[in-house]
Amino acid sequence: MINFDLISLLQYGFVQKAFLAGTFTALSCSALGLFLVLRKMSLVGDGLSHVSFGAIALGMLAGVYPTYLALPIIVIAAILILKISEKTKVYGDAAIGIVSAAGVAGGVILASLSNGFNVDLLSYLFGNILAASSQEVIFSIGLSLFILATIYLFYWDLFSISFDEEYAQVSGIPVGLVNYLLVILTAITVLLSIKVVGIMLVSALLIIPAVTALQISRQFKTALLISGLTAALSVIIGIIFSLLLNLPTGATIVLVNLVFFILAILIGKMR
Amino acid sequence: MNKVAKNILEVQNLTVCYGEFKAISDINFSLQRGDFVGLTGPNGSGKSTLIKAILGLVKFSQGEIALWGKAINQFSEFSRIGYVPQKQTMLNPLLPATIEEVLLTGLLSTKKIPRLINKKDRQKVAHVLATLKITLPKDKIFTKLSGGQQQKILLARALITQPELLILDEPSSALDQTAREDFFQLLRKINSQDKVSIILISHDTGSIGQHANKILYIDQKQIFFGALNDFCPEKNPATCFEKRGKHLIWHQHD
Repeated sequence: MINFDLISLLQYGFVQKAFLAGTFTALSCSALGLFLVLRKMSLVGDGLSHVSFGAIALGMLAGVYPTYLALPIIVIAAILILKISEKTKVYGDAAIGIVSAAGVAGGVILASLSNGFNVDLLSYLFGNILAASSQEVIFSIGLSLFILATIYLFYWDLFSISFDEEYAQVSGIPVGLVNYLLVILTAITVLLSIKVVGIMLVSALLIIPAVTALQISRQFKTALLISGLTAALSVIIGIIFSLLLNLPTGATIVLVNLVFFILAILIGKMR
Repeated sequence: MNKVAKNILEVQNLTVCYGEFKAISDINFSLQRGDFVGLTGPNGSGKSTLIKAILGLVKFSQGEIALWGKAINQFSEFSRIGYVPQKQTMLNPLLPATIEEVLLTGLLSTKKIPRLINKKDRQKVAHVLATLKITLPKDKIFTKLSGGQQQKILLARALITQPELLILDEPSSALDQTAREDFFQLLRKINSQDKVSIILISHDTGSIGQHANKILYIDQKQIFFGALNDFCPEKNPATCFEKRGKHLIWHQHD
């Protein structure tokens, strides 16, 4: 059923909270996603989202607020991905696969030990931004600001290693440490995005706005701007459409993101 | 140790292995201020590996490298070295970096965390562009430039910190004859006027013979380091390599 009473819907506190938390999360995803895509590390987000499934299931079983328990677990998993590819004869993508599989397998077992796939766990799988509490909104804004500030402080380090890693190393930039910083920030961002689009679609928020921007941007700073703009607009438009058309919010946000991506490809081809 | 301190670069008994494979073995040479060393040898002889070891990009199995008297693992004055890498294709083609942004990355070696860019840094970009007579707009995207233009920008990036040692890994391979001659003239000027020491990897032995004052020749069997005249009294490196029974791959760029 289509609900056309948009203005009154926008006056609801839960909708405003969703806009606020979603927009901040989208901005941090878009900025970070651009560096991940350029460093060919975009699937790190996907792998970590699967780990978060196990971590959230553990939190539910232990009776602890899942997000708080998931944060250190995902950060450790992010470090593990880099350690496996550094210390063993395993490429980065395979390391992501290993950690990701461990997360999902752990999650399924833990879920079966509790009440199985209950409503709470499903809301983490598919996101439920409209149900964000004030505490969760503050948590999202706080962590998003932390991520954006860190990206600002390490902007030139990230830019340099994304453009020419060898030269960055010769310049004295600790490339290894910056890579760790990147995956740890990704871990935090994944956690933030779970509320917005759910575990299954987290990587979309990290990847799609970034690749959209790269189709049409002539300069890197423009790419950052376009990535942020399309990510934030996707969240806002996605929430509005999901309310109007009574659709799942997370999936609608991702589809709006995809529409922007297709438009960007067309614009890029026309130039 | 005094000898080490006087030299800009001191390489002693250097051996680098990749697993079981010995890429370079027992290399010895030193570099003084104002030296222009042509580093040459056949493909796969370990020229790039040697450069990467000096730059701290690869670990070495044996030997010592000292820069301005400091062991390489303690060296942190990265802005004293300028580096022009072998291939522009190693750069990320998806990243739409402007000329100014590429040059600003050259200044990061002068900064501590957080490495933030200020107005003075942008003035340095304008200065190096003017010095090298590069008239391209600084907001032009690097990947849209020709091979020769890219090479000049990468040289500008290496020179922006006014380094005392410049290391170039086959910089002229993407250039046509005229651009290559201009490029070598520019290196000669930097070397003679500013006393910048240069290590230049090149297969272009003709240019090395013309511009370098020392030669470092390496191959799997032997190493030569010394004045070009000692290596090659007739000042024709190509003939010298042939006479010495080396397997130099002569690259005809014309």
